[in-house]
Amino acid sequence: MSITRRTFLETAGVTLAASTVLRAEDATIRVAVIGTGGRGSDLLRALTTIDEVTVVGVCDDYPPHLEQGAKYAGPQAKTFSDYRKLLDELKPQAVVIAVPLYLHYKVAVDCLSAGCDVFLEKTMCYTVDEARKLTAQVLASKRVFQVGLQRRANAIYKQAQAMVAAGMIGQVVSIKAQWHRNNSWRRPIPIPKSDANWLKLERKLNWRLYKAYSAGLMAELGSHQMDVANWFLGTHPKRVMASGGIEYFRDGREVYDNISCLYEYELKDAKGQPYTVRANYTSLCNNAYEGATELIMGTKGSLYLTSEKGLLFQEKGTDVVSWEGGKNAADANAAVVTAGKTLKLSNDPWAHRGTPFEIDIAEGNDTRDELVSFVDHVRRQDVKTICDVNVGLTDCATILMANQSVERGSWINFPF
Amino acid sequence: MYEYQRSCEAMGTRFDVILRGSHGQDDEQHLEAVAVAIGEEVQRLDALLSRFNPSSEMARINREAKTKAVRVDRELFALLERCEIARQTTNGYFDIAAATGGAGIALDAASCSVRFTNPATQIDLGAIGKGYALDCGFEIIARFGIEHALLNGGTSSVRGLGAAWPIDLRHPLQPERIVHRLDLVNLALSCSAARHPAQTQSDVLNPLTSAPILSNDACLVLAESATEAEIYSTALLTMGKVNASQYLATLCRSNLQVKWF
Repeated sequence: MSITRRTFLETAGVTLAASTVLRAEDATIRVAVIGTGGRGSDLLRALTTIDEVTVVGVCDDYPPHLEQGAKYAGPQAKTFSDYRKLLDELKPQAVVIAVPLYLHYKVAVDCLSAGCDVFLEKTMCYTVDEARKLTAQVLASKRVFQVGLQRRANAIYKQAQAMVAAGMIGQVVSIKAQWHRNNSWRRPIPIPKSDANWLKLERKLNWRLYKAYSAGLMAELGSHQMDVANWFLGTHPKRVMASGGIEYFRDGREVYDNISCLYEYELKDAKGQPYTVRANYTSLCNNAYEGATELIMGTKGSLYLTSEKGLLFQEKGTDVVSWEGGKNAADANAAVVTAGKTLKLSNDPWAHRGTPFEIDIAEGNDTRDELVSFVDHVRRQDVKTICDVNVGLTDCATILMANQSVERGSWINFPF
Repeated sequence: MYEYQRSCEAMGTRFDVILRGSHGQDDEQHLEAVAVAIGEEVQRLDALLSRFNPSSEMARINREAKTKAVRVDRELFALLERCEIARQTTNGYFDIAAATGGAGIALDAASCSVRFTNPATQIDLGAIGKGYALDCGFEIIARFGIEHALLNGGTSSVRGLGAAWPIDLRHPLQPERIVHRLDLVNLALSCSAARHPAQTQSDVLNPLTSAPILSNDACLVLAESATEAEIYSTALLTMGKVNASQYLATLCRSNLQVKWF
């Protein structure tokens, strides 16, 4: 199939914005934000731009973060250092939770018990056991629940997923995904190391670096990208072998500063024959080449994806072979050779990739759009969110099995 | 004392961060973490303010504010309010809607929203974004015990803390010529030039006429914040040297230091 830009954009009907138009008569939705550190503040700021939302309260147990949250939320929002008091006093209709990973389960369960609809940052839970219990509780509660994997709300990823489903890159044969960057992944601490409270504050603010609170690079970064693999392949991985360690940032951290994973997915081809797709995932903290990207490789083309741009590279040699000649050829069926001259191909090392088609429809911001979608589902009390509890559970199991494989040094099967 | 340097790309240019800590906060690990936080802040602001990035809030405003009041976050609203005050105090010479005839922006503080009263209006924060980013970077510096710092946004906006930071100024049309040397002490500077050697006409527009300015001047402003320095270097350059000196005389209280080249 020859792909033109037109067919490319027409494939599979992408929805760019929220599924509904806001109406004046819609009552505002009372939302509280629990956890107003870095990510929580991003979510909070985005919430305040959504017409239907009133942020009624913010909560954080670290005063500077709470102060920041109060500033972003505005004077109508009450501030709390204990989320249970917030739930008791404000009874918000919906909560947005952005606390350290080890607290996800407890805070989410308490919010569900208080009758709230819940937006929970990724990764859904710190353990698979918690994720399974939370899944059961969400389904029993009939509350609206969404996990913060914002690529599910990103126009580029939605388009790319539709293209894969429509067969535009042929059979998916391999996936390569990475989140590479070059910094210590360490938040600064406002007091000197000589201060008696330094270590306590270090573990609080740099919770991502300590195993008691964090599942490391896989949970904080890999969860987004392995969710793309699960989403595009329409299933979860069968097993994984992973290797990781602390090789460079020997600063007292406990989580790996680099990890490489090989996932296997079992699929069936068009004839019903089983085959395996292997997905390579790597994350680095000391080299940023090609940044945070996913490459979905199919028999007819490759999709190179980032949050801001998507590129489709068609495979060479999968269309009709065209030699020089074209309409000047004496006979349309004749291949044309030029005497004494060999066809010269470029020696540019990237020439094989050809000129890509661009997915250039990224109007909208995926963090804002995932919240617009969540709020819309809350308003309609529609539990079928764009990233529901089952997606969150599968994603959680997918990333935690890689950490387990590193620890055991062996293949780990998907846990259920 | 340990010194740490790092740069990042944002707002179509390069930002440089130089930090020197003290009081036990001068180890490389801490300074790197602060510098990374500043870089992430600058990139966050780029993602918020860039009119070229279709996923930015500014792009959303430019798309939607001609048809409805667009609710924005409190930080962006405060910045837009500051731009409106600057437009008024500079008699219209600093205007974020200069390219589309100026003014035409209605701000409503109660709903934190912005609406274009002229459907052609498009906002461009290019003349203030770098300065604002440097000031936000300085808030991080203040929070984490850094005593000496220099932040540079694309070599046209600079803010220094602590030590006297020597700054050389190149002539805008003869880049090999250093025309001025100054020591930056706890101040910000912004230098706006009418054009650079590769340009035949200025890309600075006079908001009152929507035409490019005609001088070959460059205007250097030293102020207490980088945002203020950028507002005035842009406004004064647009006014032109003569009008600018008359305007500055009317300001009853001003800490601005202005030089022309």
